[in-house]
Amino acid sequence: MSVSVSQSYAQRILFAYWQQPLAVMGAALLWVIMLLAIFAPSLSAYTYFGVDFAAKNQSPSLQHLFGTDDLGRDLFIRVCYGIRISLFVGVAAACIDLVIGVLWGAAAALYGGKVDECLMRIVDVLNAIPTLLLIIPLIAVMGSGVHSIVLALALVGWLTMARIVRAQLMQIKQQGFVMAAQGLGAGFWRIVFRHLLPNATGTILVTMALTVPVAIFTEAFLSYLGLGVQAPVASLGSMANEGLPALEYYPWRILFPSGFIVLLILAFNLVAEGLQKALELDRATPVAERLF
Amino acid sequence: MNASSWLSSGLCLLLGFFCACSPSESADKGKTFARLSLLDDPQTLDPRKMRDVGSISVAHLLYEALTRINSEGAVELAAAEDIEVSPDGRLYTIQLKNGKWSDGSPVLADDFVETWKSTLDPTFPAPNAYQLYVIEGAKEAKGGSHALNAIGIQTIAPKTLVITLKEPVPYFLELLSCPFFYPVHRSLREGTTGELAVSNGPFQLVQARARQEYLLEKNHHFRLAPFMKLAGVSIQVLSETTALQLFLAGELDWAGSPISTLPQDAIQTLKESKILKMAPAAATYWFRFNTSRAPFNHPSVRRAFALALDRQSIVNHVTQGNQVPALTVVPPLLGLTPQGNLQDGNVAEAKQQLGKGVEERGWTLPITVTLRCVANARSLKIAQAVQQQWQEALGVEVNIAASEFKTNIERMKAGDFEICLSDWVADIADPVNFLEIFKSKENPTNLTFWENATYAALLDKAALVKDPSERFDLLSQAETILLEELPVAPLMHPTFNYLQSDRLQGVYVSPLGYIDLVEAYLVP
Amino acid sequence: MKHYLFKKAITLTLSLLVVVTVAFLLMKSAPGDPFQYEQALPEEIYQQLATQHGLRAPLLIQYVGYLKQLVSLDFGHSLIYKERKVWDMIADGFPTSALLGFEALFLCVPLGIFAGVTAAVLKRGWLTNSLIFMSVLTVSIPSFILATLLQYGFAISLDWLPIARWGSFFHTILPALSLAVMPMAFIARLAFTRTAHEMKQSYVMAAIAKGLPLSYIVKAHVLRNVLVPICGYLAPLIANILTGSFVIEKLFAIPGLGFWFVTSVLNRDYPLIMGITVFYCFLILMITLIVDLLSALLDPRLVRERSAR
Repeated sequence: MSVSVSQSYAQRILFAYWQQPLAVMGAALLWVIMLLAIFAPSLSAYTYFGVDFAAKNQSPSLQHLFGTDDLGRDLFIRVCYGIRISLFVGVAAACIDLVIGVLWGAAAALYGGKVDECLMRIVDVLNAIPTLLLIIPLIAVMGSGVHSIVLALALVGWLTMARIVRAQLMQIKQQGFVMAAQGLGAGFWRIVFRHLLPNATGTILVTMALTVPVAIFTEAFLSYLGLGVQAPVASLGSMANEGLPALEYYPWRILFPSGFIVLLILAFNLVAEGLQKALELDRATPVAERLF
Repeated sequence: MNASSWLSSGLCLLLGFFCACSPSESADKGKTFARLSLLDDPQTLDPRKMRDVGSISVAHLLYEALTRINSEGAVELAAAEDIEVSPDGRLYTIQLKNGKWSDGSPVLADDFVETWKSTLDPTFPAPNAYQLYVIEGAKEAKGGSHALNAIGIQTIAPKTLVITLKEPVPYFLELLSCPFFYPVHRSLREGTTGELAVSNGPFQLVQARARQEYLLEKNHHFRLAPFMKLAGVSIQVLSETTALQLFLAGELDWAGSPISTLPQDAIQTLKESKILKMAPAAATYWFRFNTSRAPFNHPSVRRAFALALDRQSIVNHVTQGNQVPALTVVPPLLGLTPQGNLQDGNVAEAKQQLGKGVEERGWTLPITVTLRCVANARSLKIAQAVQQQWQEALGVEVNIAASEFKTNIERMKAGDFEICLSDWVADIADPVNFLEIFKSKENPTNLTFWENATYAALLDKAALVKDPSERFDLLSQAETILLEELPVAPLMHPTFNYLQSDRLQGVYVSPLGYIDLVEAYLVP
Repeated sequence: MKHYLFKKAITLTLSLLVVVTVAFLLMKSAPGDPFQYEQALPEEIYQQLATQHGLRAPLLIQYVGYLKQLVSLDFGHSLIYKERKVWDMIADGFPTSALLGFEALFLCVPLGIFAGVTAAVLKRGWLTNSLIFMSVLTVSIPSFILATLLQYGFAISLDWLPIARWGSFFHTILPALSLAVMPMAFIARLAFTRTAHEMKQSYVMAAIAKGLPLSYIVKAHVLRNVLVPICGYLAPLIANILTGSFVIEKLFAIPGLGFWFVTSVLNRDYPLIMGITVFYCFLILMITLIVDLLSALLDPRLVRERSAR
């Protein structure tokens, strides 16, 4: 395999990523699920809200691939819509968490001293406030719905990211190149983006990939309490919730939504894993090329 | 110390700790006690402060009122020996039996009188005080403008009391059997007792462990104690799925309504295995309309929505517990005969009515309405089914706005709704309990902003009538008005779905939502 | 060290104050209150109840009154469970939740670290892949589904363990397992990633070149670095696990604190909400302090760093 000298950073990473079978599988899985969620509903005659009592609680068959729920709605289509909602909620919340958490943790780690104390104290304080107390007023004011849930999850979730990022960056900071960069007069943003983050990307990616399930589950918990997405719209979490008491009698109602939750998270993890390995493989290239 | 030794010592510590804790005594009591389950802890064990199902269910087992409702639904004397009613229907002279509290002290007239006075004391937090407003001077005393001594309840002899009502109340004897008329022991009134208060009913509380178990033992001083065969009751607080599992594993004798609930998804299977029991309830599920707002400020539109409902299919497919589709506001088992022509699923006429309303008001189609409900599994299912029914039958767009319990109540109170799914369970087995709700717009339980002068006048007239059949006639006429105007669209009359183990017999399930265990026994 | 601790104590008190204030405001901003029921009360009764419990006073007065109560360590009475004092409810529920929490922590922390570190050190393909697979699988199942499956499998179908309730060691196995699974997977992954990274560092290569045994290198050098990000995760984890999980406690009918907290928020039981919030806040701040000290011990560079400023 020939590597052209003028390949960009992103191309190199992608190339390294492609070397790993598991990572490729993960990305493929993610694509398949997303395509399914986007296109399958238009190919089916059923809708996610169409109540049909005659067809209720049917087990999987050719007509209804995943069976039907207790109101006779086709579970396959509902799962597809659920994937859309869960994906959106999980990814949106994780992204917001990423931005806030990384900036916060980086600022704390880089400036250290009083700034660090202050910032982390705020994190501790916010952590100490029970989630439900934050969420109920928020949802009461903004109304239930996907947007308020994303906001609620994001508000609560960035704390773990901030803490882990700070811990990681504090360590990395000890390495010589940071002090050198500071000595050369590099500003906050430059140090963070060019020096600290690339070395912490592994931990950050892992944390992010594992934030998505937390977001999906918190949403399911909120549905359990009556604060989740509005019926008849359903996320995978709220469908799993609904199907739970029926485990003994109509197991497909919980098995399929939970199954897709597992597949989605598996896919995210494999992708994160692959990216991290790719970054590490890339680090094997000469230092000069890395510090662009 | 390395990891493995750390782990093992930790585990040993935990094990040691637990072996030291013995399992609760209820393991032995399980043999002779009836084992019931509640959904939530009782919020209080003081009858004057109760409002929730958990507390009221336990209170029924602990206390006895002056009268009680027997298994045929008729009123009979309980703690009272004799009740004399004056000819004008306002004076009740009550003679007490020689009953005893569970600590052996006699039940005296003062116990009743002082308890009710404390309920009406403006400094005492009693949510049910308004139920006593039928008594003369009660409302004023609670409002602080009268002294407590000016209330129409008096002790004239150690075991005799006199009640003076503001106006004659035909169902006062039934009212006396309710928990808000229970007596409370002196030690509880004076605050000298702990959580295990002295009671005068079939059982007494011997242990109260929150979220775990409440143990009730037979009250040997109870007047019917010699005839009672049940040694005691063990009540556990369990979620509906856990209660079902424990029942099926043989560790519970009772699961389900009225004191708890059964998981909706299990009902079909339980019905098919023939172990599900059902009892009628004096209750109605309905859709409350906000009659002060479009489109429900026109009676035809309300009628359209009420006619378009297919109640039978909801009962067959959604709730599945043999509930009764409701075509009247008051449950038929309470005996009214209104001239209602409300039908189930009459889509043609529904469309017509809707068209009429839209035309008269000049509204633009399509109409969009918001349906409010509590976000629990049952309500959501009903809401989604009904949303489809209205959409298909009438072409209206229905949006569901489900919220958690308190937020939902707040929105209803504020009038921030168009339709809301609610219910009403009767306090007493008298139709007026349902009809009174709509007597005035200001009534806190009304919330529909509807009132009608003829309707209110009929209710007032019926209150003064002595002859029961004449009274029911007037009440039926009132209900007829209700069914013409439809401030609420009745959906169904629920039934209590429960499971009762074979070894527990003689349980009476009252349509008002409590269990009577006086005649219960365990088959060995 | 004394100076450090003293400073920490001050910040603890300040943080507590801030949390109490924010929680108080949030609590009051949620619609509804403890005295609303489906079958509504007449207005004057409702107002009377509210006044009797001090809910009609201006917000500032209520706030100051509550602070005064806190200082004298009086958490008040529950507004919903009318005969119970808030402190009694916390004192009843916390030991139960904490016991369950400790059991879960005993499971997930050592096992997670062990699994993650071993898989990274041994570098066998099948070990790494199966670790990743298992951890991903367990992290993907929401705890209430896992708990229901466990309950259904072991308690109902196989009848090896009690279905629910609290009373003996066997009652704690299923709930502790349900609680421990997700954190264990998270910790294992974190440990794995970090260890894999550390093993590539030059100091490890130098130690191997020197001929030191791998197990020694791992225990004496690598482990310290691995534990740092894990400590970062531990503080909120411990606080959350110790104060109980609402869903698990509801499913297994365990009389713990998690259940009370969620119920109190849904019921708008203000004294109980504030009591548990203050307790939880105190707990988490204390645990954060301890974990920070632990990190400082593990990696002295962090402390030196701070005192250099």
